[in-house]
Amino acid sequence: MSGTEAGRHWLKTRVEAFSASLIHCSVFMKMVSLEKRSFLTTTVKWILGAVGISIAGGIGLFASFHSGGKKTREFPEEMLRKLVPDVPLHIPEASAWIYRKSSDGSLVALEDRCTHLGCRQKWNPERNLFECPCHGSEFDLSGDVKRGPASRALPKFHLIVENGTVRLTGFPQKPS
Amino acid sequence: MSAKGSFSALLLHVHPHSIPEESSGLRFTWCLGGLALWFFLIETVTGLLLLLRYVPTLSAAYLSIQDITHIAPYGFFIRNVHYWAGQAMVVVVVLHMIRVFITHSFRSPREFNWIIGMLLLVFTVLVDFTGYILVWDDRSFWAWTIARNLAETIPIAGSIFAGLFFGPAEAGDFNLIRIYVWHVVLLPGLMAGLMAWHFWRVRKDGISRPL
Repeated sequence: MSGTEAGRHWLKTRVEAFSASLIHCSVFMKMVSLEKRSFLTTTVKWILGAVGISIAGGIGLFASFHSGGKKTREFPEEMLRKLVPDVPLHIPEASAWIYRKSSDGSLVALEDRCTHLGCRQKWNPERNLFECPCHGSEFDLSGDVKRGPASRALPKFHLIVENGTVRLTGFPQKPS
Repeated sequence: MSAKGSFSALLLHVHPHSIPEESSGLRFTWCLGGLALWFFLIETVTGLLLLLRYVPTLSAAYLSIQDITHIAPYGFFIRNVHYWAGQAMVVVVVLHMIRVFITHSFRSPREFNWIIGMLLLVFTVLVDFTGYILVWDDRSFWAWTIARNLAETIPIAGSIFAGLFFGPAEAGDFNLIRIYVWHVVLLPGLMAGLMAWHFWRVRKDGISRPL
């Protein structure tokens, strides 16, 4: 018996033993007939059914405006009081860096993930740059790339202040 | 007849009673017309899903697409399948036309079906173009502006045609809704009708080989 044949024989006995254990499993005994063909067709039907239900569930999630477990980007308005002009503050619960522009007092929120491979970039106050700890990408205060490997600017959020809560939505302002 | 039996009968009725043996295998010509139909079906299914979360107004269109891409569960997947199947459909339809041309399949008795095919090519490009507009980012805005200005240069009926296809001259919600209606209802509806006609002619004129 050559090595390949021995391997095949071993695999065959394993598969047979596994199928037999499945067929003799009490749950399957109730669901399917012991005949091989009907066992297989029933299994295929159950698998197709499970796939169908999963797809239907995914479509349901998509259509139902369910957030899908993703956290909403919200934080209390009081956090804004801590802001020093032109110095970004990291807000982990919103996955964002926010700062107040000294020029016109407007608020800017940048996503805290590097556009290269998604590491969280850190603000370096000495160099006035965001630095990514993973591959050394650098972004300036407005989110523009100063050094690669990242090629896209940090996405900016739209800020909505309502009832003492700041909410960041989508990426309505395209990265410049 | 049982429900299952009548469904099988319907499927059998859709299929031709016989096909050339050589067309049943995988060939270098890839059954490109069939692929185009397949992409059209993918576009229909994913497009119906995108309808559930897209808002065709100037202020909300881009936001709703960002919502689909970044927030909606499986949204990025549905949008990307819709986008790439759309691009692939244009490529496949053009290749299908080239194949029909190279194999002389446009000659009698199939010259009328060639005309229907040309119309389908035009509608495929238009439906691709209108989809590009619906994103309503800067590229969409300028594509819309340039295309509308081009349409206005058509002699005599230019301004009427531009208004008919693109909506009023100033950018507003009516423009996007007009493009939306073309993309979602009118063009796919026209295409579905023409495709039915196209396939019926293939059956009547005889299938051209290689597929």
